[in-house]
Amino acid sequence: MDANLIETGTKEILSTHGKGHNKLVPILLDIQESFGYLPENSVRQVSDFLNVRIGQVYSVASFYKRFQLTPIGKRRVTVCRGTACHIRGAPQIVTEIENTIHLKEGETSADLEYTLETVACIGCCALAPVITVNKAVYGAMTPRTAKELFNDSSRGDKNA
Amino acid sequence: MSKLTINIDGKEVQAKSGDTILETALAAGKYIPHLCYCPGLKPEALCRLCLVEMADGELITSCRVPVVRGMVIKTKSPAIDRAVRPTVELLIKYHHERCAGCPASGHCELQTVMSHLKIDRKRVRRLRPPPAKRPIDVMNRCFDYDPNRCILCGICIRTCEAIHGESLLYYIGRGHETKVAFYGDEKKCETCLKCVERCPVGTLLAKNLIEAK
Amino acid sequence: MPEKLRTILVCQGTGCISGGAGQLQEALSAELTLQKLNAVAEIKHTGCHGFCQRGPLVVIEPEGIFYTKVTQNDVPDILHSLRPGAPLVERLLYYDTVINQPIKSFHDVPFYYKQQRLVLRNCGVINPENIDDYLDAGGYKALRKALAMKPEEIIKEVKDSGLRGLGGAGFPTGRKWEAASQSPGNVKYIICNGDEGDPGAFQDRSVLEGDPHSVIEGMIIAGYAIGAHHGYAYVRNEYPFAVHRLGVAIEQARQRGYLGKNILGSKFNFDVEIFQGAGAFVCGESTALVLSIEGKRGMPRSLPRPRTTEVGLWGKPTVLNNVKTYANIPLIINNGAAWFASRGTEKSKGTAIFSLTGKVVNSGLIEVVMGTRLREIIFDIGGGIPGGRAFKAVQTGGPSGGCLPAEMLNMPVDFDSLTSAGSMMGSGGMVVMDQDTCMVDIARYFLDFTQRESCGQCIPCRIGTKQMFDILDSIIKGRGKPGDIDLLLELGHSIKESSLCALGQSAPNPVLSTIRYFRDEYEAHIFEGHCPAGVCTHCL
Ligand SMILES: Cc1cc2nc3c(=O)[nH]c(=O)nc-3n(C[C@H](O)[C@H](O)[C@H](O)COP(=O)(O)O)c2cc1C
Ligand code: SF4
Ligand code: FES
Repeated sequence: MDANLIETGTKEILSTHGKGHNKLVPILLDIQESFGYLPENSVRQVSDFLNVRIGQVYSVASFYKRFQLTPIGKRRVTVCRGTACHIRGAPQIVTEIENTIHLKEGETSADLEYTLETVACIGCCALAPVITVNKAVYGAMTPRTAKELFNDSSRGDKNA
Repeated sequence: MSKLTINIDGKEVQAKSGDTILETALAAGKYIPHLCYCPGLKPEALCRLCLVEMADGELITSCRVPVVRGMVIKTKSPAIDRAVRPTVELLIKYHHERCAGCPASGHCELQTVMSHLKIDRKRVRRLRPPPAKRPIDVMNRCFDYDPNRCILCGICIRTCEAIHGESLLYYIGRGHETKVAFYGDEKKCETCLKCVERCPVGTLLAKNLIEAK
Repeated sequence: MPEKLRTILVCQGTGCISGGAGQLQEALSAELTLQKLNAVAEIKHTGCHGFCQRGPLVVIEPEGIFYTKVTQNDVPDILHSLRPGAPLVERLLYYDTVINQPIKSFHDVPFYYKQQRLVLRNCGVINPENIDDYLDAGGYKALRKALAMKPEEIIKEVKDSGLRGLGGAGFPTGRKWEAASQSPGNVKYIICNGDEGDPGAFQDRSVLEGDPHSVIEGMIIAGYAIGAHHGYAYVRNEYPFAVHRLGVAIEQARQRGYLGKNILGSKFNFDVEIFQGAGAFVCGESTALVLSIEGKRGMPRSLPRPRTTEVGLWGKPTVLNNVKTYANIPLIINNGAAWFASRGTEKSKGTAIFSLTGKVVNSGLIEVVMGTRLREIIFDIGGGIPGGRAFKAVQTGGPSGGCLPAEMLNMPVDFDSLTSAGSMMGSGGMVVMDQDTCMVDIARYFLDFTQRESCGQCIPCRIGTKQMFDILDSIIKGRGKPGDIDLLLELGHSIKESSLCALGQSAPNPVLSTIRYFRDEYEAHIFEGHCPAGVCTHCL
């Protein structure tokens, strides 16, 4: 991502927040939401803005699972591994997706097309097993529908 | 400071009010296993090894509980052993390095705990192997950090905080992947080396020591 | 505005939205105009109606006509059915396989009529983004009443009601409020715990999405009772709809003077702010949650320490309660402690809300009176196990709880019975398992969760849960060793006894309870290399 874009984007985010230490997590969430990860320069800006040391920012950021330190793919595929999803077959879905988009859990493809991750629980347990692609939710998945979803790439796009 | 007595393992022991059970026991020559306690630092009770049994059978971390007049505690009991021993065995299993050749050998708190509990190597062997070894962090110009030996007692962090107001060393990551690191602030380190001095095991090592080895 | 004859309720809970309820509602609106039915019916979006399994759901009031699994293609037929004399859209009705008939109204669907929806009374009924709907349903009446009472009277009422916190531990709410009110200081805080990190639970999210004002009202009353003027609602970042609707509700409450300065002319000031959790289960723990709001790593603090009601957020006395605990408060103030205390069992009053999921016919959000038997929940409300399979176990309490076998089905559900059986109420997940679920795999699943979520500061939990996970993982891969069951028991005992916080102290429960009730499955894996449920493929 363009360094200037990151700098101005971060500035904009910072301008909407106050200065207390308790703003650290809300600011980082906004940055994560805007850029898909926490760029090093943003972290530096946050550190200056809040007068909190860089190490402190990373210490906090590395504690919470929402934050990523490296860029993520255009399509962020999240497989729910909640209990209901697990017993209704989430592990097989993960395997199927891993084989279809050739990524392991936690990885991002080199062309930044896909990121594959799992999440503790999306809370759509009644629709288990569930996956999300960016903001779109797909319920009652089977290995077959999972495969189809990623072979037919136009569908993933629609919801980007 | 007023004096009082408490009963440790059936013996009356003099204590200073305000002291913790652990401090009182150690001062009276009664050893209780401990890794995260460090004199002068606020006890956080992270290692969970200093458990003692109260009169009502409750197990408490002695490093964090102040003495109260007439307290009756046990430092050894089957309940304590069942709670503490598996943790120590795991620590040893997860401690990648051998003692031979470790610069900390001989003044390592983990060795003291092991010999106090008479750890049985056979019981350690049945455990599953630890996660893969991690690279040593050559932290700054004066010392290195070995995550494979680290027990995450937090003494280095608390020491830095106590001396310099705010710690330059941080916990990074979470769960069993947690480590201690500067993460961007190593240049600000004043190399007082107090953290290295207080490391109870061989995790933080001054560079000259490593070279000497 | 003339009275509309019909109201079309379209469920917009996360479950139904995922099934396309957003587009469905747009299509309904468009078609309504097209068919010139605007004078006959209005469309209203609601929070979760509960029967998520059958979503997207559409309910037509006043009859309560209940359409399930509705898609955009069904829109013309649904609207046509509103015309005088037109038949219902039978294919969308809930079909009861016991009486072999479609059921018209949701009031007659067993999933609903066996429940007692008190806290969920407004969920799926009112539009959560319209404060007038909440007011029409009697909302903020309790606040008005409370502001005319003395704080001590409110606390006494809550104490007398017997309400226990619904966040898992079941601590008496009135006693907590009393302690905070007696702590010295002018600055105090109210926090609502909506972290809901348990996998398999979505009841707090549903309440926040479906009836956010009831939670806000409860928080204001709590603030008045203890003398706090600021509240935080801690909601997971993974719950975007809940965050959005709560935000809308807070804004509307401010506009109407229920939040802010001089609430309803009472000279009492109170405001609520949303804080989003960034993904750490352990932040549900009270001391970790407080640190997390302060912008730090959410690592729990060891006992002995002052209670949060004495030293909480920024060192000030703080009351931390669960979402559902607050949602109960308006009910208690409106109806009185005796009314509330007449429900439930001797030691657990009121209702329990569960997210019923897993291998059960009717998944969804349910509310039953405390003391209801597991069998009634799973078989009467849940409709039993799909596909004629056999029930094997039910898991409650998420990663802190345990798995209970068929022999326990007659157990009444309340805080104490569940705990004594080796499980927990937790925050309300209830996952049903059938003969095709492997109990060793389930134990491994939960330990995988806890070892990922352990904050890592204390040794027994940090490496103990990792080791237990590694052992379970090797067992399901056919590499178990003869001493493994004893080793798991030893480790489990040690972690429970010596961990710093309740995450570690309860982490071994899923393993200990499955060994207690399903030891033979462990033995089959270890000694025969065989998985009785046929799940662990490495084991065949
Ligand atoms: C690891 C852990 C996770 C927890 N998660 C939650 C949670 O998600 N929601 C909740 O209300 N309480 C949770 N709790 C319980 C809270 O610490 C606290 O007891 C509760 O919020 C108090 O509210 P109550 O009295 O209304 O139950 C958790 C506790 C622990 C130890
Ligand atoms: S028990 Fe686990 S989660 Fe709790 S303090 Fe210890 S390591 Fe952290
Ligand atoms: S010395 Fe007490 S817990 Fe570590």
